[in-house]
This record gives sequence, C-alpha cells and structure tokens, in this order.
Amino acid sequence: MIQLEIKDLTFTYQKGQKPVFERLNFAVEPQTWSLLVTPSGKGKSTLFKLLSGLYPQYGGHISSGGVFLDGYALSDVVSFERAKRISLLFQDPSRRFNMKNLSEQLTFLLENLQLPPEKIKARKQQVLRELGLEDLRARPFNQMSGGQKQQAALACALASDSEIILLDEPFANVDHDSKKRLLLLLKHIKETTTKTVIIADHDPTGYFELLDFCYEFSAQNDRLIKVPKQKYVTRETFPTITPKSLNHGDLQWHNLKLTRQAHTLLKPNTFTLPKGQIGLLSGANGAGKTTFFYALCQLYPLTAGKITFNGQKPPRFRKSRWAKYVSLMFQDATDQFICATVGEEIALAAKNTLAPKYWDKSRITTALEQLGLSELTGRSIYHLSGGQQKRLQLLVVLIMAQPVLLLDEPFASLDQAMVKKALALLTASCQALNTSILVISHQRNNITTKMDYELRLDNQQLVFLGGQHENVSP
Amino acid sequence: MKMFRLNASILVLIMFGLGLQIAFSHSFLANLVVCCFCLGYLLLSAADLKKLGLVLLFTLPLALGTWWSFIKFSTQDPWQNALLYTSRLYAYLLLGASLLLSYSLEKILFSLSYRLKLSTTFVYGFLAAANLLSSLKKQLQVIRYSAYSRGTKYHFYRPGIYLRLVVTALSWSEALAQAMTAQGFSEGYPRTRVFSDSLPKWQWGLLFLSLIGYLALVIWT
Repeated sequence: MIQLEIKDLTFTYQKGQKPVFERLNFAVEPQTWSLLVTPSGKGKSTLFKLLSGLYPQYGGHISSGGVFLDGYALSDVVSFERAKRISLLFQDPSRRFNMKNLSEQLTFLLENLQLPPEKIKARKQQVLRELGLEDLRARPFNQMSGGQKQQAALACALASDSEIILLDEPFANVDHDSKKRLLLLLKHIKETTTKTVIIADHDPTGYFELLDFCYEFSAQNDRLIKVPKQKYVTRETFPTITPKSLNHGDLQWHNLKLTRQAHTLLKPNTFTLPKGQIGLLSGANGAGKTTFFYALCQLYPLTAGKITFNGQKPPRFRKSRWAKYVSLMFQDATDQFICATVGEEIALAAKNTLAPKYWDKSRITTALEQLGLSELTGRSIYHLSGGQQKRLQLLVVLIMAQPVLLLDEPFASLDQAMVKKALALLTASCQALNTSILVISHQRNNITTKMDYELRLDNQQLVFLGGQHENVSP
Repeated sequence: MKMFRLNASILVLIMFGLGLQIAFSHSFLANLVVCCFCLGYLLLSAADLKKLGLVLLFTLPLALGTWWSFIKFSTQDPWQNALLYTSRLYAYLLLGASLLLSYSLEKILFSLSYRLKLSTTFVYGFLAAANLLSSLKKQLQVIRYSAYSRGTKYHFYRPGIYLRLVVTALSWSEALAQAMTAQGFSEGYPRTRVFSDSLPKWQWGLLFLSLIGYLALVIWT
C-alpha cells in the first residue's frame, strides 16, 4: 500500500506572489474513491500536479513542506517510478499526446514503465477492450473529437495500472452514453482492485455509486477534509428539454451536407437558427458537432448545400466579414485569445464590440465581477486555471456580440454556481440583443432549463427533438 | 515476393558516408553508379513508385536549371560540369529517397536510437514536434478566425500571426513535456522496447563496401 502525503506545503507560482496553498496538510486515504470539490480556480489542477510530481519540476516554488511518497520527497523520485505508482489524467487532454495514435501512445507509456515487450501487447489489448476503444487504436489523434481524445487519455491513465489514479475532469467532453459506459467500467475496477482514486469534477452527477466520500478544503484552507458524498453528489439524471415555439432567424442552412474523407458526417439538412433563443446541440462523441460548427464558420468545407445569413451567401474568401455575423467559442479556450493578459482581452473586445450600447463600461465591470475575473485583469491568460479561461472566453465572445453565437462546451470546467451565473449572463444578453445561440454541452444538469430547444446529431442526421417542427427537414 | 530492405541505420550511414564523398568528388561516372544503385534498391524495396515519380518530376526543373546554367555560364568544360553537377543533384536526391521512401520517420528514429544510440529524448521530442506540425496548419485557420471575430485581422505578412503561432506552439510544448513526464518518460533511464530492428552482419559489410567502392571509382576515373 502506497502512502501519498502533503505535509505543511506552501506553494506559489512565482516567488513573492500570494501562495496557492499555505501550510496545507493532506494524506490520501489508501483504497478509497473520492471526489475533490473546490470552487473553480482554487487550485484543483495545481493540487493534482503537485500530487503527481509535475510541480515544482514544471513551475512554481515550494517554500515550506512538500509532497511525500512512502516517506520520500516526491520531487526526488524519478518520473518512471512515480508514474508506476501515480497516474494522472489531465484536465485538457487534447494537447497531451506526443505520439500519433492511441496504440503508439500506450506503447510509449508502457515502455517508459519498463514493462517487458511481451506484456505490453497484452496490456494494450486489455485496456482497449475494456474501454471499448478498439476502433480508435490506430486513428490519428488529430482526427479524433474532443470527447474521443478524453477517452483515449483515460485509457492511458488506466493502462499504467498504478495504485493511485488522479482524474481531473475525466468526462468534461464525454457524451452521456460513453460516460455511463466508462462509469460502469470504473465501478468494475473499484470492485475488483484495491486502487485509490481521486476525481475532480465540477459536474458531480453520476458518481454516486462510485464514491466513498468527498474531499473539500477546510475553512482555513490548510487541510482537505472528508465530507459525506451526499453533500455534493447526486444521482445521474438526464433532463430533457420541452421545445418552445421557434422565432424566425437570420442564419439558415439549406440542404447542408458534410463529409469527412469518405464518410458522411451530416446528411442534407435544412434549418433556421431562431433569434433570441438558445438551442442545445447534442450527440455522441465523434458525431461531428464541432465540425458542424466549423462548417457554419467556413472553417470546414461544405460537401453540398449552402449557408446564408439574412438570405446572403457568405462572400467567398471573406471570412473576415462572415466573422461579424457568426462567432465561435472554441472548445479549447486558448484558441480564442489573441492578447497576452485578461485586461487586454477585455479591452479589445470592448473596443470592437458590435453592441457598444449594451456592453458599456458598467455592464462589463459587473460581468467581470459576476464571473470572478475582476481581480485577474493583470494575469497572463496562460496562467489562468481551466475554469477561469473558460469564463474569460465566454465573456469575450458575449461582449463581441455577433448576431449568431456558436458555443462549443462553454460550461466545461465551471462549478455549478458559476454555471448558473454564466447562463444568466448568456440568457440576458441573448434576449436583450436578440441573438441566435447554439450550444454544445455534454453537461445537462442546470443547463437544460435555460434552453429553448434541442438539436441532436445522431446517425448523420440532425434532428429537432421533442416534436415535429416545420423549421427542420431531416 | 519478400521485400528487400536494408536496415534504416545502415541506410542513414550510407547516405552520410556517400553524401560526404559526393560533395568532394568530380566523377560523373561514380554519381551515375550511385543513382543506378539507389534506383535499383528503390525498385527492390517496393517503395511507393508514384511518390518516387513525383519527386523526380518536381526536381526536373531544378536539374534542368543547373544543367543550363553550367552550359551557358561555365568558363571551362561546360559539358563536363553540367553532367557532374546535375548527376550530383540526382545522386543526393535518390540517396535521400532510398531512406525516406522505404521507412517511416518513426522507424528511422527508433532504429537510430537503438543502433546508433541516438538519445531517446531527441527521438520522442522530434516525433512530438512532427506530430504537432499537422495540427499547426489547422491552428493557423483557428487563430485567423478568432482574430476576425474579435474585429482584428491577421494578414499573412503581419508578424503578429506568427508570434501568436509561436506562443501557441510554446504552450503546447510545455503541455506535452508535462504529459510525457506524467507518463513516466525519464531522461537517461532505461526503457523497454517493442520495436524490433533486424540488422544482419552482411549489411555492415555492404556499408563498408559501398564507401570503399565509391572512393575506388572516384580514384579510377
């Protein structure tokens, strides 16, 4: 049994700054499954990186105490010895693959852990079979969807067979059915092995059966204390949306067909995005939701059909004009930013906004406060937490206020309180500015109540859920 | 028919060994022999002939340019020089093609790491960078669109877009390095190896023979 402990740890990103953790004490309780609950931006991912030995090797500074593995300072342990015992699933797995495909990535990992070659093949097959990922084994990572990459990263985290597993938002981009399947697998692992697992997730639904308890920070922030799981975790639900009658709108696609290589992604489909309403675009991982958004932004070629705004076709080679009508909030937050700091990003958006009357100075200041960003204006965007980046990204897109907003996983990495605030901002500006909004989100809790309709991309068909609507023809 | 392939490390050594000699030699015949051997090897090793054809086609204008400039401007022996430099160009091209058309980048690097002790940090770093390249093109599109939708423009001649691309690549490389460490990659420590690399002894002999043979040909002609 491995003992992993944090003793009296004070950790800062840069010397002289306010510490992220001050005199923190925490002993991971062996052979338990727990959920780490912290508000967004309070150092959840930092804690995981400390527990897996990536910090201070890759940044930050420990000014007192440290992290200890069986009594040894974790920073003195060679990384392959650490990885044999502790595995980590990163919050943003999409940029974490150094090899071309999952099969090669697993080989790389198992070779690092010095597993004998004859065992590597068997272990790889076992993991791929258990996770149901055989189809993805040879697919290049750059052809996988965000959710598929997340499942591939989970495969890597489980393949090392380490005793302690840290999962940082393992299902943020994973569709409902895959999440259910993977949770069942995790449950099986729990029943048949003696592993220690800590999960961090802002969407705690679905974990109830899996967990023993939750960890949260004590009032003084100097300890992680155990609390009963009932405090945070609810059983999995699947709220549906009762569609409202749709308004008319400006953005329309007509017989739109999309293909990727020889495969059809979307069969010919016609729809008009209603103004002043928010729609949810759902569908399994890899169904092509993000690609569909890219197509609406002219970042992906149409196989057939056309997209029009107010009856006008997008002018060829003029993406710059089209981007004044249709804006995309990228799945990966850092894709959105073009300035160095939070303050510069907000200032640029405020300068170029298409709705300067609505987004005046006082409204922007209030929104910054609501999203908990007002104290971060001097911070570099690369030094924000995943959740802070998402909030900034959302705010910037809202301030720009194009008539059509396509939001790809805007609520990933946000805690439930923040999801509500973000949604309030979204609905308010949607109604005030009569915006057409379409949202991809795998998280449904707390979100569906604010949605006016749902489109589901399934079997290459885009279907309007909850009744026949004249607006859609499959 | 079983494919005939030389070991990737041997091919690299032949390429460097002959490459160095070709740079200093003045023998058209020796270059011609190298070209013929390379072509023969490429046919035997069942390399992608369509790719080979394309490579030869693309270099044709370059070769003609070289030829023409020596014929036109060389002060002495224009024909001799034209033949020499054009054949040199093809000798280099076909040497490179013999390696790159018969092995993938991974296999070449893995073989070099195993046989010639190339550092694994270099091998996996290089592979990671190569894998990132394909994403960078897509990233460029994304960056331009995100700039457009923020009311600014990045033209291809503005340095801003490249700066942005560099910043992105830097943050990717940091994320990748962390991930590699978390997956247990440790610099300078042993790893196991699934990759198998056969290298019969006679291929060392072939390497030696080809280097000596070329030298002998150069001296003889």
